[in-house]
Amino acid sequence: MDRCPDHFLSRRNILTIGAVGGLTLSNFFRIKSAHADQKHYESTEGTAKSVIFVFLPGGMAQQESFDPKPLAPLEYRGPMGSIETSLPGVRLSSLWTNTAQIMDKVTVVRSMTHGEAAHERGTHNMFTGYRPSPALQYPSIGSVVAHEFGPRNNLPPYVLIPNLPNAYAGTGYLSSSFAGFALGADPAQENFRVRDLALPGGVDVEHFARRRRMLDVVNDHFRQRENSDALDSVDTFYNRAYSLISSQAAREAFDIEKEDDAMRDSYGRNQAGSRMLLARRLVEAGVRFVTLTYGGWDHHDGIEGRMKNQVPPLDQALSRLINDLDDRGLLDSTLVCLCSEFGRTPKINGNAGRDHWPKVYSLLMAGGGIKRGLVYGASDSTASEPDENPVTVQDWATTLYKCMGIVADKELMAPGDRPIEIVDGGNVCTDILV
Amino acid sequence: MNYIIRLYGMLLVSAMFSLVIVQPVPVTGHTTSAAPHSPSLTLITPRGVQRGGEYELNFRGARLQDSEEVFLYDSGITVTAVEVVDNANVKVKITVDENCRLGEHVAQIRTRSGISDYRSFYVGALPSVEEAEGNNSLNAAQKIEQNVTVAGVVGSEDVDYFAVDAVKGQRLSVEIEGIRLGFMFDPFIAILDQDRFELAVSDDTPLLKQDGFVSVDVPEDGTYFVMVRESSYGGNGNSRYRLHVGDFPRPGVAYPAGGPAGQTADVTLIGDPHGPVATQLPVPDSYGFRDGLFYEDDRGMTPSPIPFRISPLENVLEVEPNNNFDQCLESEQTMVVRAEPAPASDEVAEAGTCDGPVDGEQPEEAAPVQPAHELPRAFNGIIQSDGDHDYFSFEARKDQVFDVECFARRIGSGLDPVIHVFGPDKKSIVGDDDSRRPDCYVRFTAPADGRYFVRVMDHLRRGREDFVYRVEFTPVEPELRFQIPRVDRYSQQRQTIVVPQGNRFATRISATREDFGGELKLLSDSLPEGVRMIAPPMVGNLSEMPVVFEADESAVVGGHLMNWQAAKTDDSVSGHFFNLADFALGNPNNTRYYGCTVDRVGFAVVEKVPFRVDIVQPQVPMVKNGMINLKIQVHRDEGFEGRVLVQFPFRTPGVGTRTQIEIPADQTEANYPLNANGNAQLGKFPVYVIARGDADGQMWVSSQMADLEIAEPLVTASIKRTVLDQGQTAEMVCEFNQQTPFEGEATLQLMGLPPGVTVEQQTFTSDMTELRFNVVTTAETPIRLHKGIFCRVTITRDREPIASNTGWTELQVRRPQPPEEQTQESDAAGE
Repeated sequence: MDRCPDHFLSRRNILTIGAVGGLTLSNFFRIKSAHADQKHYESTEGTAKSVIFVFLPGGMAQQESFDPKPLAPLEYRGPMGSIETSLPGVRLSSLWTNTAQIMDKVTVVRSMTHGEAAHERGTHNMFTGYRPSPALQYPSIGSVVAHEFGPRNNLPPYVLIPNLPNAYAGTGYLSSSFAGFALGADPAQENFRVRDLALPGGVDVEHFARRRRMLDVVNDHFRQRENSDALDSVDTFYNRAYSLISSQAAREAFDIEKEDDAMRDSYGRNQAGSRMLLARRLVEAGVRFVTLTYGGWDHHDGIEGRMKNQVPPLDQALSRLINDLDDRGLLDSTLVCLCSEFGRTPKINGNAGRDHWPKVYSLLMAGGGIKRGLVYGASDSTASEPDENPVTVQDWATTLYKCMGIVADKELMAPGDRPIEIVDGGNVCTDILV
Repeated sequence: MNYIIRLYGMLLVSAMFSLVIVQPVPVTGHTTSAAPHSPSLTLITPRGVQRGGEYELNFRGARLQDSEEVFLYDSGITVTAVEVVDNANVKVKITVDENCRLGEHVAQIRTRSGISDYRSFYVGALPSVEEAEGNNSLNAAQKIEQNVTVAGVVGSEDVDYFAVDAVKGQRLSVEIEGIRLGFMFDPFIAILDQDRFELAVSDDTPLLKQDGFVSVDVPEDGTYFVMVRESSYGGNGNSRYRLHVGDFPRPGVAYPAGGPAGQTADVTLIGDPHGPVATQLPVPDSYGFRDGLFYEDDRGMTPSPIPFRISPLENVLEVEPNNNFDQCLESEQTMVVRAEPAPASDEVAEAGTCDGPVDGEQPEEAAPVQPAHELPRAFNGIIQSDGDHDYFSFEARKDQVFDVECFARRIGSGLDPVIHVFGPDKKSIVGDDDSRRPDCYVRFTAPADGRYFVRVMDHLRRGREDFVYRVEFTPVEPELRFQIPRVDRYSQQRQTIVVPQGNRFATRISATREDFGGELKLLSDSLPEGVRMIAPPMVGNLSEMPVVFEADESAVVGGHLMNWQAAKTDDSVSGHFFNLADFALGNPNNTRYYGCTVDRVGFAVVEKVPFRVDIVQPQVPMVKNGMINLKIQVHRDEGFEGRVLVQFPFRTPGVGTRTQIEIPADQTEANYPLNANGNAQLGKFPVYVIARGDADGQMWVSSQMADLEIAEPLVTASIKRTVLDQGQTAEMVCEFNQQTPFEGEATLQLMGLPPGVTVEQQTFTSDMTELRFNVVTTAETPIRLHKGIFCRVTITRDREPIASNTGWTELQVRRPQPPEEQTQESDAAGE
């Protein structure tokens, strides 16, 4: 049985406290029963060996992306036109010209829905699969993947490009040793170097090994005196860092300069292109879960101009990523998911923008066991509500976990030795799975 | 009750009535021939001056090279010269009167091509000294005299120290203008003694919000230190401050905090380290945004106003104990009612000092006993101690309605008030906590004749000697106010009226009617010669209206602050323009921490611009569920070859459109698409488009005021749901409901069809009741229920189309039966 390692309120402690504070026998047995009933499933690699999670913070409009409404009234339709795609009868907003050509390789879900119209709450939903709770910090999907599978090929299981994007991309109630490895720099920048990946100047391998031995002596001393998750986590971090630094192949996975100019140009030498290209390198090398963010999509005003600025690089990079993965034979084992925390209002507002709208929005998934060439679900005629096959955040997260080989009904141990499902109550959308 | 009273609760000088007309003054410096447009103003430096002197201010912004004039919204300052330095800087020489009101003054620049944003600067009573950097520790504190205003800047992690000498028993006051200078800067101030102990600190205050003030009784002769920093050790080049340091009085709140205009108010000022001060102060004679009471003693004057409500209501002062119903009834047997406004006096009586709060004292001029108060009245009191509740009683008759406004934070009090009104049976009828954030408001209707009670308390049951409140009971009165809706969320873009010579400019007006309804009209009594305002009345059920200004080619370039009024068409209610600009925005979500309200609008006739736009008046209506293309023509002067962006800002209910369209440089006209939904309001409405051309800045002109008629559709249709197998053909039947006869043939086009489905376009006439046509599917037609299919009917009248959508239906495409089943079926049929 897993135990939550980082909390003073263990079952034994609760019993002790109960003796003083009045914990009844029935409460005790209820807790004990909860432990006995902890749902456990072994995680084994699924169709998706890796995931590239592209998060667009701010809430990208579904109307100006994957769910245009060309026949809706003008105030709903918005300023952008729509274009045909490689899927007959399926249209995308007019800026997504490259993505339109790969629609036969991806699934677009047009019926995502939840009820959280605030950025931080919607973001929490999409990073954890849970509604936010004041009682518990939930782990991000990436951290759960790290928890279930651990590292592969000496590479961190969970990598964040370029940085921790928000507080919900962390480990939540899991040990901090399952945190994502943040690059600390943007691959789009000149002279991009991943922070802490190389030995400091003037330190050779021998020096480094000597320092490590000294550190081990100190750590052993503390380990004899303390027993906490924090120490273990630091230990885990160091060990993984040593593996990274000492592995040429692992280090090179982070080196975007290894890509030739033609490849870099095809992704685009910008934030979207560089981040996605690096994500491809990382999953190719063995990283299990890559989270990257791009742009700001909180388009309360001037949505036309802002979409025209932000979409073309994203469209180019996304389509190139899908094709690149496909060309390398990686698409069927790599799940790419592009989403925002919510969509935007059906009507254009007085500032030529759209406001927050979680009731219905769209996301794109591809590879890793996801069907090719599918539009799943539908919104109504004005993109106001789901009209067919609504997909909740729980459903989506459960499906994502399913592709990775994790049963989302599995319970992990939270503080107080509370067994908590990885996702509570979601259903696998079998219709979108191969 | 006037809106300004409700919203700001402070009185003033109505800039509205005390307008300083700034005469055009000589302009020097270079001007350029390149026409700039849309000037902006971002900063006025120095951020403040001492009254009674001549100064040169620098107005910094963009596209200012053709500046001509400065508009000032407040009295007491005269502009003597405007000197253009370059595109971004203008030197403005001013003379500040000796008796100029202290505090914030608002200004904006008029150029020959536009009007800038408005910004503010400050007028103080004390001489200014500049902060000398290097004053970042007590040991390196900058030595200053008392009664100066220090102009400084707090950089990142910067802490500024100033050393000032004081003697025992002296009052030492410090007030900072930080966020009030218009940038997101939250200052923290403290007075330290020589041993580095804090005598007083101030971060945020109920009176000055993010700004603070302190006033202490100096304990010993010696040097004291004034510390200034950002509250979280932030700061940047825009974290400017004006720090007033001296022995001037700095009380925080007046009690009672309201009285009649133009009179002398008997008030007690609370917050001075030497105790409350009972005094008489002159009350301004009209409402304004930046005024209040100013208290001056032999040591100096408060640097900023003490909020005070200008109100004709009789004041009722509480008599403690009044903590419950019974005490209330007992105390009111001895309560004083100031039944008449305080006698007018041109002189402020010598300030006296009273020993403590006024509660419980028996004034010398006791008024007749009041068994219960007849409304309207203003009840005033102080929640002095923790758990204190104040009750007042009053008489009301059945169905009398009163607005009950409680002022506390709005008058500088720290109280977070909660009010309840109780009936004669002492049961609560209505109550409120935070409607006015955190002050409160309720509308009270008396259910029967009787004696009622109102209770005031703090939300957290706190009490302090300066927790002053004022509860005003006023009869419900209609109110009207209007503004120009923002076109940009966080800027003052197009919040002025700028009409090019020989051209037009238009804007929307957004009106708020409170407690009345009906049609409104806009008034314009101060337009210059050659300028006309076209403003059809605002329909009774709408809150917006368009207004177009037209200027003759001969109209003189110039401008003024326009006192813009509106009224109900029967003149029974009137109101005026106001605008609220954001000066300091911060987290979260660009929250406005400091704004500035004005009550007039900048108006200017500017030099010609090289293009005009017109709407080609449509000859047909747009029908419900219909659409129309409004033809827009642009006329470019020779030499102007740019694109023109066109917007259609005013939309009646149910009408929608795109936010903007572009007429490319090589085209002279474009169609502006509009559509109406099924609930669109019927009628003929005024509409306009506004167009932007780009030069050095943005040039905006409007079309003429055109008419757009919204009508019922001429014909509607219905189509039953159709079911067929993939690859088959089925007949669809469209039934018409002909509502208005039309000539010729109408076309019917099926929209929203799925891929692989074809239907030929059909025609029909006014006398037909149905139309049958075939729907052809193919193997590519998706097998599913296809929704959102509808008819687009187009009828041509006067060579213009009347198009509408109707007949929404569904198409169910089924999977075709397997061939063997078909064979079996046919075999069975054959047998």
